[in-house]
This record gives sequence, C-alpha cells and structure tokens, in this order.
Amino acid sequence: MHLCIKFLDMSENSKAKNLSRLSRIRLSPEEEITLDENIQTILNYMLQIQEINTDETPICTNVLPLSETVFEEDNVINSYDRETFLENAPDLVGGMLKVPPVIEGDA
Amino acid sequence: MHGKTAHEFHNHFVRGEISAREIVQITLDNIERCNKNLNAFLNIFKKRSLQKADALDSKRLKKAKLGKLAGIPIAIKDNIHVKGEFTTCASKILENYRAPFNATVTQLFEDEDALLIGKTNMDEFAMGGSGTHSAFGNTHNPWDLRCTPGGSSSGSAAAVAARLCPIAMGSDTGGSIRQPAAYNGVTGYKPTYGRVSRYGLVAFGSSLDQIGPITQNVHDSALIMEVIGKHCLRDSTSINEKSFSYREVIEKPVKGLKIGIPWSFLTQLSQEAKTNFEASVKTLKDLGTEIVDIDIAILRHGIAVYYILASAEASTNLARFDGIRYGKRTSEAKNLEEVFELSRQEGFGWEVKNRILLGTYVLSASSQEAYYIKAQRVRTLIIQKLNEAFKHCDLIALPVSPSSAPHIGSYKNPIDEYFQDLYTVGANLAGCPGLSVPSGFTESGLPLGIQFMGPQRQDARVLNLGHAFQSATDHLKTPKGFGE
Repeated sequence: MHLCIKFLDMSENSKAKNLSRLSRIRLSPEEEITLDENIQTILNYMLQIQEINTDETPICTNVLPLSETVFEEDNVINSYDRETFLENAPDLVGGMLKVPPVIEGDA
Repeated sequence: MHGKTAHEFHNHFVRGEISAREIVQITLDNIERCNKNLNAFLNIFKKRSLQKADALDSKRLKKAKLGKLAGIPIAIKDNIHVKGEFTTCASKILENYRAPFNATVTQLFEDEDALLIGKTNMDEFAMGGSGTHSAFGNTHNPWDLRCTPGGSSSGSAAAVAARLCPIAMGSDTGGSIRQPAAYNGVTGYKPTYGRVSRYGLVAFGSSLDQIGPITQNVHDSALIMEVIGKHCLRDSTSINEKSFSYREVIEKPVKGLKIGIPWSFLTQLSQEAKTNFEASVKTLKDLGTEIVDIDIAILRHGIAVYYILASAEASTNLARFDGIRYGKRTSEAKNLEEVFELSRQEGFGWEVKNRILLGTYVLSASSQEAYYIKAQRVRTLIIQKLNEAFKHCDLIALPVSPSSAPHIGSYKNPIDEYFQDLYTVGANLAGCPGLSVPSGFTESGLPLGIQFMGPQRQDARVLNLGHAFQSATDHLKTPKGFGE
C-alpha cells in the first residue's frame, strides 16, 4: 500500500513550530524554514519503506535474541560520590539544583 | 617510534628500550605539530598522560606485572567518558562537562596500563559522516586536507592515519568507525552489538551503538578486543561471554571459508571503488576462499530504516540535555520552559536539531505507525534476510562506502551524506560485527576500504579474515607530510 503522507498533518501555521515545541528546542525563524525543507526531503526519501510487505513481520524489539530478561542482583552497594556528580550542575544552592519557578506565580 | 603499531610500542616499552615518558613526550610533540592542520584532537592530556607515564615507568622498574596495553598511547573519542576530563561530544551543550566516572572501556584500558593521550574530535553527538558537524571545527583528512575524514569518529581515524597514536577508540551507530577508517586508510572494527560495554558512552542510538577500535592493522584491533570484549554488569545489553584470545584466532588459515558477495546490491559504487572491490575479491579467491553470490537486496532500504530508528532513539536520548542537571544552561530564560528550549537551542548544532526533530516526528502519534513501527518491522526483515544469507556463506564482503572521501562542503543535500552509509548500516541494524580494512587507493591517492561482516558473535572469524586479507596485501601507508 502506497501512502502519501504530508509532512505534519498539522495546521499550516504550526509545522516546524509544533515539532520544535515537542522537542523543546526554540528554533530561529531561519532554522524553521531550512529545517522544514530538510526534513521534508528526508521524510520523502523514507517513504520507500512503505513499498515493503511486512504484513507477517513482527516488530524488532531486541537486536540480540535474548533468552531471558537480564536482572541485576538486588544488593545495596556504594554508589558514586554525590558531590562529584553535582560538580557539573549549572546552578546549586545548598546542594540542590536551582531552577526558575515551576508554577507561574511562585516566588 | 614514529608509525609504530601498538604491539611495537608495547614490546619496546616492556623490553626497556624506551620509557613511557619518552613515548608520551614523542606522542604529545607529534600531536602539537600536526593538530592545527587536522583538528583531530579536542583535548590533549598533557599532565595526566605524563603522570601516568611516570607511574608506569616506576612499575616497570619494580618489575611489577605490566598490563597488556603498557606503553601504548591511546586516544579516546569525545563521547566516551574519561573520569575528570571534558566529555563534550563535540557539542556546545557539553562544552564544560567533566566526566564524573570512567566508561567501562576507559577503566579496562587503565587497568591494562594504557597511556590515554587525549579526546578526539567527532561529529556532534556522533551524528554525521563527514567530520564537519563538530561545534569545535572540522577535522581534515591527512591524505588530502581539502577532504573530509568521514565520521563520526573523524578525529580518531585522522589521528591514527597521521600516526599521531597507534590506537584511537571510536563508536559506530551506522558506520561511524568503519567509514572514517576506510576514508583514512586505516583499520576500523565495529563489534557484535553487546560485545563491548556501552556504559559511559554517551548514547545516540541505543539499539545500534557500539564502541570499537581504530588501528593501523587487525593485529592491534585483536589486542584491543581482548581487553574490551567482556561482559559488563552495568550494561544490560552486554553479551555474557568471556573474551576470546583474538590474537591467536586471527592467525588461522582462511582457506575454504565461504565469502558471500551481494553483487546485485553493489550498483551505486563509483568506478574506482568498483574496480578496487573487484581486485579485492580476487585477493580473497587467491587466499583460497570460495566466493558465493548472495541476495541482501533488502539493504537498499537500510538507510531509510536506519535514519528513522536512529533519529527516533536520538530524540529520546538527547532529551536529557535540558540545562537542569549538567551541560549548558541558557542565561536568557525567564521560566522553566525557556530553560529547556533556549539551552537546547543555544547548545545543539544544526544536524543534531535536524535529527531530533526528525525523530520527534517519526515517533509522534499521527506518524508512528507509518514510520517508526514500519521501520521496526523492516528491521526484522533485514535481520531475517542476513541470517538466510549466512546459511550460504561464513562471512560477507562488501565495500565500506560508495566512493572515497569527498571534499569538505561537497554534499548538496542531506541525503548525499547519509548515502555514504549505504553499505555500513546493515551491520548496525542486525547487530553484526563489521570490519573495515584498507584495500587500495584511487588515482588521486585517496584510500579505499573493504568491509567484512559476520553473523552475530562471530567477531573472531571476521577479524581472522581481515588479518588474512591485510597480510596478503600492502595497503598500510602513511600520508605524505605525516611521515617521520
């Protein structure tokens, strides 16, 4: 079955904007235009897989055929030093990550 | 010591013919001399490597047991954690991020007394095949500085080609070790998925990524695989098998091996690549192997499947870079949403944004069935077809890429660059081991490579054939200007 898929069945005004919102990346107006064109070219190329009959083919859930789920021993061990991990934090207050207010109206 | 292999470095050191400090100093001097033209290294461990060298020299003087990698300078791709050092993934979003822990492979190297020399340049977050998507400048091909070194392990391949170090580690998600190895005339190995721990490798496509060595020759690849090809408790996709004695296994004769060639799939080669591949097939015949024709035409769709799945996985894996716990945080945000949106806008490069948006789209509710789910079904078909092919042959031989390294900036549209992965993505989609070894040169002097691919877990057999091919040919050369 050949599908003709429009790039983003979303409103005319929100194509790349919608994707950028979902991805949490605020694109510049120039990036919206060039990425829009780029992604359309790539998606059109990807449509070729619609030609392939996969009616009887299962989804690939694991590239290695695992015979059983991999478990880890449930032991308490010393983890890494907390201070070392906090060294990369952009903004710390009293050992906690400082961020802008989560809810509007918070102080 | 210029141009010595890893084994030669190790042997000279162990015999006391050269000190570790001398080895490191020579290596650092070479890198300083060459890096401004190549931009292969992003970070050079001057202090750390000399300290390690002094400690190793003391160890040798005390006649303590030395590790398998003692005296060998090794570079690490900048998406693999080395504790205390920057791990930037060639991205502004991680420009000041220091690794709080060692990757498993890093720890294994340190346990075997390797001399870690620095972090190499790459395409940002391993997304690219040209070495031109780094936030910190392009890497250049030592065979022709106007050409790309390939990618994404661009700096690693260029460093080994220019003989700055005998070994550099890379990662391979769709060809990112094998393709730059071929473009630079060196040897690149992508192990079976799960053979090498991914703990400490910054994830791009978690079902596709593998760490592997870029070396001058297969003998050195085998040495590295003995060290890193081990089960890891911290990686739930790690194969639970002991490491092999790869260096013994690669010496076995290859006479009688059946080599499958997918002739009908090889229609996109440049004329020079085609002629070179045919000459390589003759070499395989001369080694006593039996050449059989196989059909893996389904791999024509490999690039489409790969870019759907890899982009989808990337969009998820890179969601963690949000300016909150680590990495760049914008100074312009007025609320939490803007911390995410502006940090990622300022921190990610164009190709990374491209792939994240693509991945977000193929995973979105309205498109998932047509793209992501469909691609997962085609991936199953690819695995089935390769398994069928391996019933008729022991290994598959095919080119690494359709042509030699192009000039930087020559790609006219996004598909052009992705197309270079045509012959490499199959191994990642099916979790198979793949090896790229030098197979000759074009008329203009650019390297070409041949690829050997095996069934899952047949890493030793793949390395065996690569070593035999390399021993029967003479394509290991040093680019002009990078000799002694």
